Amino acid sequence: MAKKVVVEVLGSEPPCYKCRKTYEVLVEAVKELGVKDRVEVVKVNAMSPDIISKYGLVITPTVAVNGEIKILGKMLGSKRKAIEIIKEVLD
Amino acid sequence: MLNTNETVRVIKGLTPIVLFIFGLTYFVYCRVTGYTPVKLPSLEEMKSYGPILLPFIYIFSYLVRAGAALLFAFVLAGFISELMPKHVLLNHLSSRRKSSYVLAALFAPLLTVCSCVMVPVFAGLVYGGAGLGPALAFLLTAPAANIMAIIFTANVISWKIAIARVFFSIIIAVTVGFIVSKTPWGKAVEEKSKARMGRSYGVTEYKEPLLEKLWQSFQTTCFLARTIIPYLLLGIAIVSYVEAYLPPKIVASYLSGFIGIMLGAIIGVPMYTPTLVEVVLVDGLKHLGMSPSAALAFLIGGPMTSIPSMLGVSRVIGWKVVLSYAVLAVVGAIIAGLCYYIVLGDVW
Repeated sequence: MAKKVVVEVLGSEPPCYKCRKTYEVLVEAVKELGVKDRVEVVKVNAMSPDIISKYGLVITPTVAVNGEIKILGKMLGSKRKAIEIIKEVLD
Repeated sequence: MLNTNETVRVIKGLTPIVLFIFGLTYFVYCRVTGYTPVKLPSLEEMKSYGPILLPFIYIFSYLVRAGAALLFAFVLAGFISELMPKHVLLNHLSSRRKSSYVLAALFAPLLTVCSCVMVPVFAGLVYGGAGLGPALAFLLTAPAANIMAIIFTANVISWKIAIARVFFSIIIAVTVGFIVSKTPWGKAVEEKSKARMGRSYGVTEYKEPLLEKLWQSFQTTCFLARTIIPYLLLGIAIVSYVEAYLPPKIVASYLSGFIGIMLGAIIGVPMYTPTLVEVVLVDGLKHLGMSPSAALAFLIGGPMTSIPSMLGVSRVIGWKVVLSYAVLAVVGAIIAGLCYYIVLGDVW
């Protein structure tokens, strides 16, 4: 079985509107693609030292897929785009 | 042949550009020719409508005066947040060179359109980027010299104040950052975070067509407007009462001269005003006799020492550092007010 894809949403804590929206859109995209068992969407705190030493300096919200930053400091608002991003990794 | 989908995309993409050009043209036109679409009532006339109608008329007159500037400022903020190549700016901020102080202060207005991203970037700078000093420079410039606030200040108050606000904010921020990072408790924070630095990351950003980006920037504009405008309107309504009922004698005696500069810088600390509202308040007090140097001190000191951001960063760097930067920022704001007074006197 292939390794699970991890989509991390780096957000501020407590989450601001943009970070929350980005997370929701990604979760919905995964649901729509029906790949829940292969893709995991997680929220992480952009202020924790561990995350900072992993990704360096980021702006929230940031979306990283398998440790690679895909969106930096922008809200992910459209589901279509979220689906494209996830599909790209799955293929 | 364009199909409907394509047409919609083009229209969506062009919306912010059209609004931007319209806002800017109208704003400049009004500035140059002194044109106002409706004759605005004076404060005395507004007062005669009674305390219930007063805030509404006051808000209306603000929208007439500053509507175009606000439109232009919000669309510009949207452009900045979507089209700015952020990873390039961030890469520059990841090094521990001396120049990163200045870079942090200069980039701050370009990186943070919305204040909720400020604290995380600050934490990032402390732990993984340029270090405590530049991080503080960043934190202090971002709210005081933010693009929307500057355009609004220039439109509502005056260009001189707006330029002085940016100029002094940057200087104060860099100086305070430098001084605090040299204090014993500042050094302790630096030591603790040094172990983590030195990791640069790979960004393979998801590419998208320009039209799509423009539409996104417009969505950001709408988001900013939705977040900021309600507070702004409420702020304007409150200021209308301040301007109408606060005796000018009090303002003229406490908010002018040296005392005015001191008080201007200090009252900004406990008073948390949402973005842009501080400008409205100063404009109201200006009509009551506040001096320009006191206004400048308030406009710099207030945003720099906002309580929510102090609470946010205290978790990262501890209270000692927070208190020392707040005190230094207030001192800086007082000095800025004095400099303005010495150079320009009581000129708005």
